[in-house]
Amino acid sequence: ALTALRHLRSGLALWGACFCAAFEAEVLHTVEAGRLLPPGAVVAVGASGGKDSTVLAHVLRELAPPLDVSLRLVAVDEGIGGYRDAALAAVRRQAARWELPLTVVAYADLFGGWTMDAVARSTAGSGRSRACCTFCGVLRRRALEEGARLVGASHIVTGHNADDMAETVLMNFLRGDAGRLARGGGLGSPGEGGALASQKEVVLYAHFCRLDYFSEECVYAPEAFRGHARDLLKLLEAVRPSAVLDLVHSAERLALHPAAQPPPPGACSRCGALASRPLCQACALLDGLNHRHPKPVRALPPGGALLTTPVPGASSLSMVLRRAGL
Amino acid sequence: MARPGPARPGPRVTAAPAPRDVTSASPAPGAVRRHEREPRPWRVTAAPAPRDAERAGSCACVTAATKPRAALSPAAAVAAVMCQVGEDYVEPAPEAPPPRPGGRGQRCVKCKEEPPILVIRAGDAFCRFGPPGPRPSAVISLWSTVGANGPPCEQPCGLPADLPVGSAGRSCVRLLRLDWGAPPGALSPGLDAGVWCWYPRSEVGALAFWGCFKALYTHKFRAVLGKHRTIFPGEKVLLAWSGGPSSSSMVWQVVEVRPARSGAGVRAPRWAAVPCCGEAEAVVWPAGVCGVVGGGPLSGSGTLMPVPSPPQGLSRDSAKRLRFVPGVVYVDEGAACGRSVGDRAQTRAAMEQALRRTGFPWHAVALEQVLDLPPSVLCCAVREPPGGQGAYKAAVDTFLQKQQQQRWGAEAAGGSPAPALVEEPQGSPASAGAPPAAQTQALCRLFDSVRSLTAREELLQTLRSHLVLHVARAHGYSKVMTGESCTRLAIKLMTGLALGRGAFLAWDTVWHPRRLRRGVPDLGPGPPWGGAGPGTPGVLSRRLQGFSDERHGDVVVVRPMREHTLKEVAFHNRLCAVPVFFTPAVDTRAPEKASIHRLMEAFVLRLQAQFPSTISTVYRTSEKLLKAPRDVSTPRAPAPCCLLCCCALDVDTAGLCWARGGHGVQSSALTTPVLAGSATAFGAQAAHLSQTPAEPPAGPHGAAGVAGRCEREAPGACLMEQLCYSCRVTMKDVPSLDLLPPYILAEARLRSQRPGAAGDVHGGLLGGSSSEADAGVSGGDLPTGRQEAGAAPGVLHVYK
Repeated sequence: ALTALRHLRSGLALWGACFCAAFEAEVLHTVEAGRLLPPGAVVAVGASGGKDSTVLAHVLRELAPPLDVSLRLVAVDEGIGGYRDAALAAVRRQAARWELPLTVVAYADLFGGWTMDAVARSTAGSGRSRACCTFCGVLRRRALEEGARLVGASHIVTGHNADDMAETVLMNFLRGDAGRLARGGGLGSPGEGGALASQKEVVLYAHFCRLDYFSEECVYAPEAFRGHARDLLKLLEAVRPSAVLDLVHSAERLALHPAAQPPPPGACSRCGALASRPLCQACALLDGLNHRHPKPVRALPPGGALLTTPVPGASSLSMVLRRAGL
Repeated sequence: MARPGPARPGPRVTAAPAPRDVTSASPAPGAVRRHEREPRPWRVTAAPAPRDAERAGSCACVTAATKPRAALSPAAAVAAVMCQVGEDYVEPAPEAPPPRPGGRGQRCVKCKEEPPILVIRAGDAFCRFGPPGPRPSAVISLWSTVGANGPPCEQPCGLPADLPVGSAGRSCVRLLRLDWGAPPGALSPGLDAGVWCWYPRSEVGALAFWGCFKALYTHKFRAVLGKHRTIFPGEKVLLAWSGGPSSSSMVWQVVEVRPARSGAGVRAPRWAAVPCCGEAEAVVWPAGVCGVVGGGPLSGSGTLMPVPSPPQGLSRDSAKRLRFVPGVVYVDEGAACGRSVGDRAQTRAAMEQALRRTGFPWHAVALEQVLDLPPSVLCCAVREPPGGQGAYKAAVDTFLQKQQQQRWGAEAAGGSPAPALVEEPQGSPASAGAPPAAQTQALCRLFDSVRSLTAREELLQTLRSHLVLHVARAHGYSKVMTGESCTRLAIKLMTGLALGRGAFLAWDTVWHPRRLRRGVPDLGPGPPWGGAGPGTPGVLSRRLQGFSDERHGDVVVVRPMREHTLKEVAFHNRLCAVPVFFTPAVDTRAPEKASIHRLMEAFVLRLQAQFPSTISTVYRTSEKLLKAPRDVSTPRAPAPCCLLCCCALDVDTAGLCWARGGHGVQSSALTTPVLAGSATAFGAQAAHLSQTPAEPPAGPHGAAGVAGRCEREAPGACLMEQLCYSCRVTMKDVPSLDLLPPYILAEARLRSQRPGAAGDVHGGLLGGSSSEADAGVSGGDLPTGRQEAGAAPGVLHVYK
């Protein structure tokens, strides 16, 4: 067979089908080694229509029989005109093709009528337009949990690739966010094993499997601080191809002062979700919105999902599997 | 220089303004000063006593003073935004109109009285003339005819004629014009137009202007040293000097705060600047003391000091002096950069000249000397850190007693008080001359073979640190000071992150672990959740103690410049005329995308321009890092160290065993980052799995077929296994490991021949050397380097 690519980590030359098999084997190994998905689990796959979640759903569908899990697709409708509609159409096509049950939860239903467009309008004049992604990330995490609860899932799976994790590490360092760094290193900590597939591999897998995914950047994404980290990462990768892996390795091995470690999470007093403060971040943000003072509280997000929450649709991070906070 | 001057010694006063009566000369209110040299109101009212910010116990004033106290004018704010780190300023904030005196409450951040002129960043603005106190009575522009051929000094300056000033001996300056102040002779008797001796800088000139800025700058340096109590009095400290801005500034600080000795016949340690040809400013104090501030556009300058008694308030009492014994090391890296022999000789000559002027013992070594290093450099002679503050205080007391005894002894002998700290100012200049050509070629071959600039920089850094370590051990220094600024550390931190050195970021950037012993208060603003987290300081200190000096064992690297930003350093160097040398480095003229180092540097500086708090944020993050990797074993049983960077290995041993065990993994897979822990453990898996469905691709590496065994492979394989993750990735770009210096290969062979014995040896070392160190400390003696130097060979024997 013709060699199609050189495997990033082992340096082996592989061809398409072989690469796909290796990719699936890696995910399987990660899931099994970390005992992430016990047999009989009902798994909610966060599907955005983008390449990461598409690949994740595809891989998990392949692996569902050996793992003995059942899959549910959960998509979140943030209410971003002209962007999310097209992405949701892609998700619907995928669900129909794979014959997986799809549930769509909308911000507008969950959060008292707030859509991202409305949030953006509300924050636009206040000089806080960059905060869009802050709102979106927190709320989407919350929406995903709600969706998982709706479908009765015991686990939530989101698609994040190594590039996204590396970006997050860079970003948290540039922002000096030690609490999130402590948790960012914790992606490899017990109970949360991450399968690290680089962005390139994800795209290649999607290419070889001829997956249909939606690749456009969110309309609000260019304002995000993540853009800086992403640019840097691309440059770094050009200089040294293993830079992404090196960054992830750094993040895993980061040793932080105990005082910088986040406290054990509690429960939100209003909605009961995971929170490190009396009120979870989503509730706090919504409070701010409802008071017409959109003020993102600079604190720890519930459960740390924000850490790996990417700009909607615009690629994402390692495959993080975590227990649903039910 | 090219400036035409009168051949006769009598100078022309070209632009002397009208004599200004100091009691009535105050400009009309609202008058805008166009230039800093312009006349400014002379304060004759009773000024408050000069405050001394460096009084003991006022360390908090650093942070207090850096907080934005005075609101800045829009112009100043614009200047603050426009000023980017790393630039060298010819004139501070040249475009911004100077703030008006007394307007809108803008005040110097330190003295809080004068209008600010120099803006480091928003909130950090400094005045020009410093705290109230002795004021210069005139500012004179002068230019110099430098060199041995200059006209003789016309003034009886009273200083010894043998005072060395550079190579040219004493040189002279000619007063050219009087910019403002009194006419010659009116205010400062004895100072007249004419030819004056040009002397190296002293504290007089340095403190004349920018007193507030300089005081705070110096205070920061000394506060870092004093706060941590890392450096014991009388300890030998090696200053690593590269000639660049930060390290030059560090050396200058040490030179400057050394005990200043006055009086004829005593040689003060001096840092003479390169004599400048061109304009400079002289400051005339009422007492007749002159100092020169600033220099020509290209060079530094010296100090004009005809009267050796400094004005009041400038002398320093002994409590503020630095009490350690410094030495300077300079590493000539010309071979790594591919410079020609002639260029290197020139650089070496200039550097040695500068080193000689410091008055400290100095060591100029060439990078080629790494080829002669013994393998013992790579051994960590673990020494127990001397106990807490009690030990420090005891050491201080011993030191003071010793000093007192020496002083008495000297007085009894009738001589001038002998310098207690300096054994011999010019002692043992270790200039080896040009290294042998064969060694240069060997080193060039090594660096030329490295495939990427990133790896080249890393390799150079490693070899350099080994060399400095060796010099320190050989000459009995127990501390090494490097001049990494806050900016540089932030860049280094991000670079280390991208290079996979996450576990060692604290080792690479943090000052010293004992800083963390104080626990939470040192972490800046407290955590928003209030509590101290799971680790209480007591537990923490106990855990940290064993780790503190583990990296190089007996030699500790400290970074006293870590509170200074590069911008402050640049200003300081400019204002104090600290000579800075430029030598081409590995990355000189390399494009931005050539290496991760360059890339990260450009990125951080660019981001800093957009978000002015970037560097300080990253830097603060580094303070929250621990030196102990998360899951490395207890201090009593140290993990095996990386051969190159001497950090505990951060590679999963499980992954290693798997790779070593030989599941049909090809040898190429061994040298890939498969070795890395959880992030890459499944990479090996993939390599393994991929062979099942497809036939193993035949390649150059395919024939090996067997997992690399040390005995069969080239020295590279067993070397690779002893490296940390980051060093392995770096070494992947070094195709022929045989070219590495012999001490690395020898040590690698030693360690691999005794698999598993490394831990035992280290354990043995731990006991042996710690007892020696304990004897050194508890005996009331100062932990001088001789003992450690003696200990290191012993360590070696155990190892062999």
